[in-house]
Amino acid sequence: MGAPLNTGFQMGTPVFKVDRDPDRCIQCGVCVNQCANEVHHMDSDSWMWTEDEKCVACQRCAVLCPTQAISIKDFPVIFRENSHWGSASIREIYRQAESGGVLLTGMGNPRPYKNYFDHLLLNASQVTNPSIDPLREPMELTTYLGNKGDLISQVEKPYLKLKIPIMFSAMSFGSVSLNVQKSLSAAAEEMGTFWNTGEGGLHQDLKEFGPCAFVQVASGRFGVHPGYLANSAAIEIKIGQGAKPGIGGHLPGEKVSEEVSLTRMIPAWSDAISPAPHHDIYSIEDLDQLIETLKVATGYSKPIAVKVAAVHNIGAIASGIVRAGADIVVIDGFRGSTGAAPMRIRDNVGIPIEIALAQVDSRLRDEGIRQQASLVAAGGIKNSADVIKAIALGADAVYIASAALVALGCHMCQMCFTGKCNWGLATTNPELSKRLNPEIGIQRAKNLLAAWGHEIQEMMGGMGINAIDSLRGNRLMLRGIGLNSQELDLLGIKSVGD
Amino acid sequence: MKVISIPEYCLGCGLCEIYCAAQHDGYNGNVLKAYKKGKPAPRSGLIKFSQMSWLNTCMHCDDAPCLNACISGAIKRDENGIIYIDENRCVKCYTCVMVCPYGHAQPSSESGRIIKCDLCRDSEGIPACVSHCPNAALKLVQGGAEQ
Amino acid sequence: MKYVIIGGCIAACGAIEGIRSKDAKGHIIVIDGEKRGAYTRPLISYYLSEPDRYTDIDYRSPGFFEDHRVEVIKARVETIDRSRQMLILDNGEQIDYDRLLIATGANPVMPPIPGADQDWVKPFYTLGDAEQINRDILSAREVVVIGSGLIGMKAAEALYKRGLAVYMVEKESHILPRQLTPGTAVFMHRYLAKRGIDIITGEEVAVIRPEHQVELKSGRILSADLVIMAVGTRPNVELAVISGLKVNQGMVVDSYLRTSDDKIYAAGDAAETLNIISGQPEVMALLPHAHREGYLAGRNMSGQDMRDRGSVPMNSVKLLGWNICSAGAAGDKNGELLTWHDNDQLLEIKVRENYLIGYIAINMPQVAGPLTNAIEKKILVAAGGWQEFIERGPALATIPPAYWQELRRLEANGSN
Repeated sequence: MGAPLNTGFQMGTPVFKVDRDPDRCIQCGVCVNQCANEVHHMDSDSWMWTEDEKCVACQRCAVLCPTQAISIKDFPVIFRENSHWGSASIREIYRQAESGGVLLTGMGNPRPYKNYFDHLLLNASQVTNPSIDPLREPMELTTYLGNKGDLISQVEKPYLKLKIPIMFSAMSFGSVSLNVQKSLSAAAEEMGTFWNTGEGGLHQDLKEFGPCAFVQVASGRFGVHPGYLANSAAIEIKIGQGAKPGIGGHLPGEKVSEEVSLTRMIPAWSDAISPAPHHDIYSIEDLDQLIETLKVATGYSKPIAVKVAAVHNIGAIASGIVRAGADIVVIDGFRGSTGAAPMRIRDNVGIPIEIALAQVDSRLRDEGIRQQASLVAAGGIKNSADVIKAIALGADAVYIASAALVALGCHMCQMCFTGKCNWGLATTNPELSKRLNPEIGIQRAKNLLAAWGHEIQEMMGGMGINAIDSLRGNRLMLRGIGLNSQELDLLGIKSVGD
Repeated sequence: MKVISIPEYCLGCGLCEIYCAAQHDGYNGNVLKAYKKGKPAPRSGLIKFSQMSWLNTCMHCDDAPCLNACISGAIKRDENGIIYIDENRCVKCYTCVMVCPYGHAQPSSESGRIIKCDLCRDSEGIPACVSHCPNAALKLVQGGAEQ
Repeated sequence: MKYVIIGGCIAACGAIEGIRSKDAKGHIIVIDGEKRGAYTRPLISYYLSEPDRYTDIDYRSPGFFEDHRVEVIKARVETIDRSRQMLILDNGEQIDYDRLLIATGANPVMPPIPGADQDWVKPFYTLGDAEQINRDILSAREVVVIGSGLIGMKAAEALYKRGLAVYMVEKESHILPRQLTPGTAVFMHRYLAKRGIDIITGEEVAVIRPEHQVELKSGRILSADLVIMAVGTRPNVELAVISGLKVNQGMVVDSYLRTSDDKIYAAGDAAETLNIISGQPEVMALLPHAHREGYLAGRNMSGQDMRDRGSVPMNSVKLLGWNICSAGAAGDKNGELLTWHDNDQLLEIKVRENYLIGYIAINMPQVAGPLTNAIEKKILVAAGGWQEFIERGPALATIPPAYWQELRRLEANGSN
């Protein structure tokens, strides 16, 4: 190894500015001891100072400051105004000129692409049919996932019962802390829904939450063994992820602690590489074999889910997955989040979940195989209205991950890949991960589901619908606003006013 | 009643101390006033080791060494079992400090008199340290430590 | 059950609390010869320094005896008729008991110095003594305090604060010989001398002359309007002796505070209890011990089996603004003495085979509690743990982690 290359001084100015109101600051040092990025400093003479260039706007200091002395602002722009060369583009080039590397990022695609959920409006009953008051009438949110189609064979297929059509999406131990998994798994169990181990295996402390877990089998096959498959609600074969379709994953060796190593069944402190493809799946027939293998391994007792990123031709892909024997198809839209992904991939690959979902639902109906598998929509669900719209577009249930992390304290700084998550979520550093007390995490995650459940009931009641199953694929309840005719066509909905 | 620390979830942020000080001496929970205009005196102190921290607060022991050792009758137990100090009666002998296994009761840096946790008995609601702990690492539980 | 307690001071209050924690109904009688109820003896020096401020030096609230349904008889006990379980009082009254506690405390020692019987030579032990001295000093300018133990020191401090010129004579080579080591004594001595107390160590008083002169054995003569005699106290065991109970230095008790008669208990300054460090029974005339022994005796008298696990000598005292906390045997011959010093602060700890056996902390009470407890509970610390505590700078956060772990463990077991 030679000496580091000299790339001159750092061209970028700080992105954020830490503003400390001296009239309010009491030199208590909470900001100093809470910032894992080491932005805040206090000298022995109580002089406070900051390194703005390290700030990621995670807001930890601002939230915990007992006197609200801190506010995080945009650093005053110094780049000359340019509608083509924005400051972000210029900074990215500086970073690459300094590092020579791929730009990494975390969480979901932040670009201002059109958000179709926000261009859909719901119906409500007026005069010609009555609305329903969810406080007075029963309102059914329970739904079932699995193959509901093979009525002739009379063989009962494994299915899952969800008391609310919202599940926690895959986040592996390693990408998030054990306390995040403890929070979500217990919340899922108490709320009658499911969580997902991600591809990092099931930590021994969470064995009791296996029966409410989707256990993932991904290209790295981390932590997969017969006991892992048996102690689960369902098995999810992960082909792709909305945040980074087409590429694999890489957990750096420094993060493969003893705990992670035990759970993933790989040597400690060695890199954990998830290959881009499964090396045993090069065709739809290969997928068929893996699905069958997993069914045999678990005695046909568990539904098998297959998760793919929403990409071009998603309709045909989903059709193939169902025909390969999957009981659940998970479509992950291009806004889906990640703990770490190359920025160019996250921001430029994939398609929106709304379009993909409508396409898949229509395609499976057209082919007469819709009832053979349930559809789960993921990637970018931010509120209960998005859930309702996803179900009306054809989903049986949705996955949420970013929303769940936000409920646990995530402030969307998108720096998950650094392992320095100040909210103790996307990290395995014990000093940071202790910042999420699962007791609080469980309650907050449960509250989120309960709140969304109430809102969903409210919206369903307005539409005159008293069971979530009656809403599935019921696109008459949707109208598009600000969409062109091709978009309306792809979504299979009418325009407002129509 | 007493407040117990759960070191597993203690962040060592120190907000407990700050809100403790603001809840006493008439600051009424106003942190800014306590620290900008007054002389804040936290009753309980955070103990920080390299890997661990916790709030070193009063266990309000059933058989409290400080209460038994107090030579001036300044330390008292109220009807709820809370051990508190009548600061005006304190003669600064520090016998209570000498006998507390937790090192909890400590002289005020301001007056030299002993100050200690009184579970915010003069305020409404649960103690300020518990209600302001950002990670539920402090809990108000029934019963005192058996000394 | 009928309980009788002889003495009405700290141990008696502890015993009443102990009895009432178990037996709400039993008849409790306190026989107290002292006019003034249960006051806190250490506070008499505070009273003397500021009589107007320290008017209330009660140990417990005024309604304490009434609240605990205790009958108080103002009398002295002449003798105990153990065969009949009967007390004979000086007023002729006879009182029977089921369980008896003797908590007669201690008396000041008046050494046989020629001239010590003059009326301007005073002990400083009771509130009555303090009140008398308070009247005497109105016309006094100079005072000699004989003895530099805690009582002598507190007397000297109070008189110094009242504006008198104070001389102090100590026959040992350093002040507070029972509390301090030579090193810590020098540290304290310098401070007190700087403030203006004239301390003469290694000197004995030869004679106290009627012409208000105190002559030392070296021939030095100190003039004095008042002499305070503070050379020590002696357990008040007279009653125990004439009643035929086993008495050594103080009354001999077992680990349940029972005397040689199993109906009779003893506690406080008159009793000998186990010193954990020496492993021997000793008179440890200290307020926290008096309460604890009384409390345990009370619990045992009411039918429980609570063992006294013993204790160590300990003291916390403030002298002209400086605080000294000490416990155990810092001056023990065996063990390693570790010292930490910074400006006004000084800490000496004595470590023997990784156990802390004693400490003296000057102006750093913040670590005293855990150190006392580490000695009393014999908490074992990894080799070098106490050395590290001193090296890193003594504070609660540098106390060896093993201490806190053990404390939590004891707490979890409910046996702390």
